[in-house]
Amino acid sequence: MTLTQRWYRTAFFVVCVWGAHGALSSLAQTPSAQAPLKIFVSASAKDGSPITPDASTLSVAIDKQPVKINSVHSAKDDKLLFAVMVDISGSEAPKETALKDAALKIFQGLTSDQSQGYLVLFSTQTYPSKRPLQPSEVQYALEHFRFNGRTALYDGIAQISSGILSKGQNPDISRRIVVVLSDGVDNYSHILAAKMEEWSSEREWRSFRCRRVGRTVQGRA
Amino acid sequence: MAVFSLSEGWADGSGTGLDLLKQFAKGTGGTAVLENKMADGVAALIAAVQSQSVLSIAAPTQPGSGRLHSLSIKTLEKGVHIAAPARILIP
Repeated sequence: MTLTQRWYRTAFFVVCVWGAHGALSSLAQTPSAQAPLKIFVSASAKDGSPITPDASTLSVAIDKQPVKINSVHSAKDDKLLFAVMVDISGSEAPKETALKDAALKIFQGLTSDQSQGYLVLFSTQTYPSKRPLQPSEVQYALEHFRFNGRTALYDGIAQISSGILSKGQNPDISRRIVVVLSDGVDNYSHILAAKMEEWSSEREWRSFRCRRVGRTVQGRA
Repeated sequence: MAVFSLSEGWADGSGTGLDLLKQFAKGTGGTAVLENKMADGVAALIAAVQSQSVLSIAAPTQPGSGRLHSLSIKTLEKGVHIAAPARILIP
């Protein structure tokens, strides 16, 4: 082993030890090894206008056990990933113009440097855009499809929450929302409405765990 | 993941589909907007998304094993309504 190789080996060892020391120190300073949890909420005043709730008036419980609130603030500075789901089933055909206009305006209103979204069309199947779109692209996309077929809304929401909007595919974006433009009628889904929320949350989580495990295995290989 | 919705319908908001959209919104921390004309609800929907708040809470000391846990968020402020997820996944 040459002197240069020895030097690199020593430097590598020092960096590793320093990193491990830093990680252990931060663990020791934290009573719980878990990072704080973020919960996104919508609060409104009596007249329906949106507000940011006052932390001192809030109480949070998980499984009926009180939990300490660290902070409450507006989420406007948190990165936002959204999906606008437009119902293009036959029953919505009379509202075609209104639905397209609303979808475009929502994209224009929500898209920013911090915020981007997918366009998702759904009837019996779900057709998400392959990547987040700019409003000009949404306008073009909305001009090129027909309204027909039945509606599988719950399947669509579940597919989006466990796919393009999942934690697994977006581990760095915790603020993820679905905007549904529809009358809410579903006559084709395989998922029951009552189970939809629970099912999609669990699928979302499972996809995250699978990807984490995959990443770990890849890292070790 | 919060579900927001915008629907066109009568003011009483009756109908199974609309009721379900309200339920999804309520149980995920989102908002369901209902207007006679869809265009009239766009601004309200965008405002609802943009005014989301984020609560940072201490994680339970026991790991959650990736299970769903019930979540309850209440306020003492009169007239204030909070839509929050009904369940939370704890790593």
